[in-house]
Amino acid sequence: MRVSRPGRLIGSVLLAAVCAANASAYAGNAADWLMKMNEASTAISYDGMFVYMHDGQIEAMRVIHIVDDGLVRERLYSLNGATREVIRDDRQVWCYLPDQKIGFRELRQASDANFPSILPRRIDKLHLNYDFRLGKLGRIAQRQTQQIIIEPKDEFRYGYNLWADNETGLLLKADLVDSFGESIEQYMFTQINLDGDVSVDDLTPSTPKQELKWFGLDPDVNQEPTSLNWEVTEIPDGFMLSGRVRRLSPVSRQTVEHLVYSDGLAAVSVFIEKKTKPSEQASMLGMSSMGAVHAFGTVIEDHQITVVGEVPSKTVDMIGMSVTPR
Amino acid sequence: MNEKISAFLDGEVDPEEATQIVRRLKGDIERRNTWSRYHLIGAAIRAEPLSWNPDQHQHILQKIEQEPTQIAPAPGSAQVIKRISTRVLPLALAASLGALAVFGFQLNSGVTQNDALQVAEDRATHWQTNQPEMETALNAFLVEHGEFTPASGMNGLMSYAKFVSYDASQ
Repeated sequence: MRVSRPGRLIGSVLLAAVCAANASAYAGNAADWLMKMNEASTAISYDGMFVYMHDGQIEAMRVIHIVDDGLVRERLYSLNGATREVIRDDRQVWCYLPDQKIGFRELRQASDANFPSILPRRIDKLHLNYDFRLGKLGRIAQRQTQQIIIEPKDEFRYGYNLWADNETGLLLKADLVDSFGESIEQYMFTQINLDGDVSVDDLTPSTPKQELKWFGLDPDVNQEPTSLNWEVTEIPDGFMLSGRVRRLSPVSRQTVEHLVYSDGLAAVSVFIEKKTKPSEQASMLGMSSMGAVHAFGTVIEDHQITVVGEVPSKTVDMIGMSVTPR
Repeated sequence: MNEKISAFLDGEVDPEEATQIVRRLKGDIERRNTWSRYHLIGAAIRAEPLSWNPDQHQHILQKIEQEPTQIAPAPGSAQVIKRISTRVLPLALAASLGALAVFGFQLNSGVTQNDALQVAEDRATHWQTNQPEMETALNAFLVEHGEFTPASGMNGLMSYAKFVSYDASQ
């Protein structure tokens, strides 16, 4: 696998940091594997089928992932039911929902520092909230794999059982587990082509754009800021503000303040949107969930607050209840 | 476990036990179905409003017909069972599973209504939510959130996979 010089440097520094933090040699190895996995996702082209299991359901998808001159382009689509798909590059994300006859287009606003991953900058802090160690060698989608086990130290985040391709470091299976060790959702490749023989033609969506009603354009981020400054006053240990953007909601066309908090593995988004007609607009209230994702809605001073993250319900609840105007 | 579900619905378990039950319900389809049936019956007994959805009606009908003996709320309440099966069941049959998600009910167990809503089976939306009309907004937020998900090198794939995945049983 190709490892860039900065990558190698960061890897060494992190390894030293983790060892210095009184972790075992195994933890160091596990941290190294996380780095390797993280790099693989932006270094290797692949075309594969995977299954996603959640809430007692199994869904099958295909992903085409092309890295060209350091830029990632990707298409992900469902193999069952309606051909929902997501096509993205470094600038835009297009989401096709032919079953609902709609699509979303999002301009990516995460800065280079945040995309593709927050992980490398935060990996040295991970041991504060997670224990990690290497698991068994295995075989997934006909590839030899190394298992990496990440256990949370509290109930505010999930644990991860990961299986990475031995040769490239690419993540081939991920199992999210709760603090009781029970699986919440799983992703697993069933077949993958890592030969680099991936066609750009396969990035073409199967539904023509004109067949859908599109939401989300022109995020003029400078217009109509929310009238108040907002802050989260209560948050589990280890979560820090890692991103802050202002965008137009693709649905309501209102300016939305988007705060991102991450502990290095898990991320929680806080969306704050001023209601223009509070008495007429529907509010999102309480908890919703899909697989490991929880979303919590509340209304504070005529602003809709929505907290979304791949974290337990108590985490989005705690954060959502603590959002206050400054 | 079935006894526990019943006790849980009656608010007769302590908060710790209730949390355990909710956790187990979440991961277990069969138990969730049991939960749905008990909950439905409980709602009918308490004369809470039930909404009607023809598609889901058939689904419930089949479930209940297939497993009539498992509708019993708890051993030792044979009288109640009989009463339920003769009087309340028709009412319960008229309910939709989706309606489970909009019941407001109080539990004395420390488990919040939201926790309970998450396990209530709701096929009407891909999200488990008490506001199916918010699904589009939730999807949009999920996509925006996905941009920032470090998720251990999956590079946001997890969030997008959720968006793409389509529940064929809808």
